Amino acid sequence: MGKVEVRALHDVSVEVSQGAMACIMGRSGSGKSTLLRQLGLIDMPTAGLVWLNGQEVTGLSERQRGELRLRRLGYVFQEYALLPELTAAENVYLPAMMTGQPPRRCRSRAMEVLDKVELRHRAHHRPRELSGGEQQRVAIARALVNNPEIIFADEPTANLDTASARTVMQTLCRLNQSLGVTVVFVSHDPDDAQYATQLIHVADGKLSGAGDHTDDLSEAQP
Amino acid sequence: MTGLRVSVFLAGRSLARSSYGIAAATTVMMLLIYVSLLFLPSLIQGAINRANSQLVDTLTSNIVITPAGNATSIADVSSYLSSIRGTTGVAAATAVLHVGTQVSYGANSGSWTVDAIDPVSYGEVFATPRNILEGRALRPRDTSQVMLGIGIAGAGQTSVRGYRASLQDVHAGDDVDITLVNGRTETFAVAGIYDNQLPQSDSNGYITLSEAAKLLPASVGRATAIYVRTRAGTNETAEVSRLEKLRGGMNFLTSADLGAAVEDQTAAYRLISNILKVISLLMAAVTIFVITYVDLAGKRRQIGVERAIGIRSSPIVLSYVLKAWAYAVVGVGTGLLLFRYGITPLVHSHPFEFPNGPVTLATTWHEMVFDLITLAVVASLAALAPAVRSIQIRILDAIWGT
Repeated sequence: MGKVEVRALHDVSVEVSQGAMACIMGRSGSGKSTLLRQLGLIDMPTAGLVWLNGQEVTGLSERQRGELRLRRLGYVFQEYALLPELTAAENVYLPAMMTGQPPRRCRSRAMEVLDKVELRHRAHHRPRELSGGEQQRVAIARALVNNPEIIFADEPTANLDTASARTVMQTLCRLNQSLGVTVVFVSHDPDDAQYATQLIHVADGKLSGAGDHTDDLSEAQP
Repeated sequence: MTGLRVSVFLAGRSLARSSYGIAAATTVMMLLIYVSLLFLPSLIQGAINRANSQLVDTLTSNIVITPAGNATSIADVSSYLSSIRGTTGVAAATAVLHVGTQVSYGANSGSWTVDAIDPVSYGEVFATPRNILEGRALRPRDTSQVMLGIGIAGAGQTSVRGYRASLQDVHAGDDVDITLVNGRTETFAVAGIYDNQLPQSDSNGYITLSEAAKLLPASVGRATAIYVRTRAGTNETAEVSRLEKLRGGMNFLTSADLGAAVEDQTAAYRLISNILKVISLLMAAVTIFVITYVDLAGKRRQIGVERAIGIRSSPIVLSYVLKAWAYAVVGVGTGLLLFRYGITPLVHSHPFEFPNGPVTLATTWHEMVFDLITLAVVASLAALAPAVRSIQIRILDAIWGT
């Protein structure tokens, strides 16, 4: 009786360059999402360290990690994870509000980032009134609202049809290139590798290969 | 301040956009709990007020003056009464002389107090002459007339408490024999029978002072006790201090001192009232706890997401407390208006018939507001426990349910 310990990641060392579009690839259960959550400070490794721009962040308290997630990191979940009682604009507005900015500035910033994901016209719609792709783009806008250094996206296209998935990935690519924000995303779809400048392969909790993929991305861009 | 803003934002949006059915049910529940929190204690307070006012209006007045030490009567009553009536805070005063100890009617008899009174001043202090059931009240020039309480006369009212111990079937116009304090027995016609609906004051008989002067000449100008009615808002203790300066050798007792007869009853009522309040507050706490718990169970993932994107735990917890508080304030506020402007006037026009007479709801704005605040605080605390628990779950477990 009792819980069985599962070692999701073992002896993993990975560095993501500033401004990179890094894709963590691997099969289901390989540990790629665990790696992303630990890099995104949502989960904590039982051993090892996470560094963010030269700062070791593993030893921070939950409150300090929360501050980092709020101000320096953005997170996009696989299942959109928008708050159903808020409109698209309010979902985006909320993290900005938490930073203590004046309401008017939060609102204009929310509209600005919704504009960047081309959803300004859907600002006052509730999540249930948006398509999956639109919800994911609102989630990207929410991740972007506080000008993060890194956006973590956990299989952002997993629940989307091909056209919506392409739009979401292209949005992430465009933001990475135009704003210089680092994007780390997880995917099990080999086609998504075309968007990455850095590939991180995970298999059975270990790195099975990593490399620069800039050339592939250049070829993939229209 | 930022945290509070976020809490208000989250609570406000959730209240405005979540299920109206749940919001309405919670609000109505809080309304009912608040009304129950107020209703029975108010009714009990009404009964207590009724008992206290009956006591003052028919038995003790506000202040009773009796001779101190071994003296059995107060001498030179007329001048003393004049001084008392001239004192600030005194509305009326009357002297009473104990004249009889036993009343008989045919084969039935019993020991009851018969006092001699001045009907005019007595009526200014006590309500008894206005509570006539049969016949009429005493008049100053009445001779050989007695006014009896229902507890002595019975008047055929078998439902009256103490009927079996009374003379049972004495009616206005009947003759009764009264044994006086000097041992003589005199016959009196029953002028009237009163019913104060208070057993302690319904077991007295009254004749006029002019009649007593004829029957007991030695008692002229004397009284066994003086009863004082104070003006509204007068402090009885302060009034006693003023009266004490008029003449020495007297005992002064206030209605509060003499209220021992209903004190146990009042204390029992208050205990019941407090128990009911605690039960109502527990009901409110359980209601809000369950509603918040169920609400949070359905929003576990949402809370995980909020924390993952950097929303601090305290604003999340506070948002649920604010929601509970809002339910409580709206429900209780509506309950307050319903109680004050609906139920209270209704009961006032259709009072409850208690054994000691009609009883209405007695509550004050202070009490209503106090209960409102208490309920809102209890509701907030009840919401706090599940809300705090919900943010203690790991973010991963909250979002992905591992």
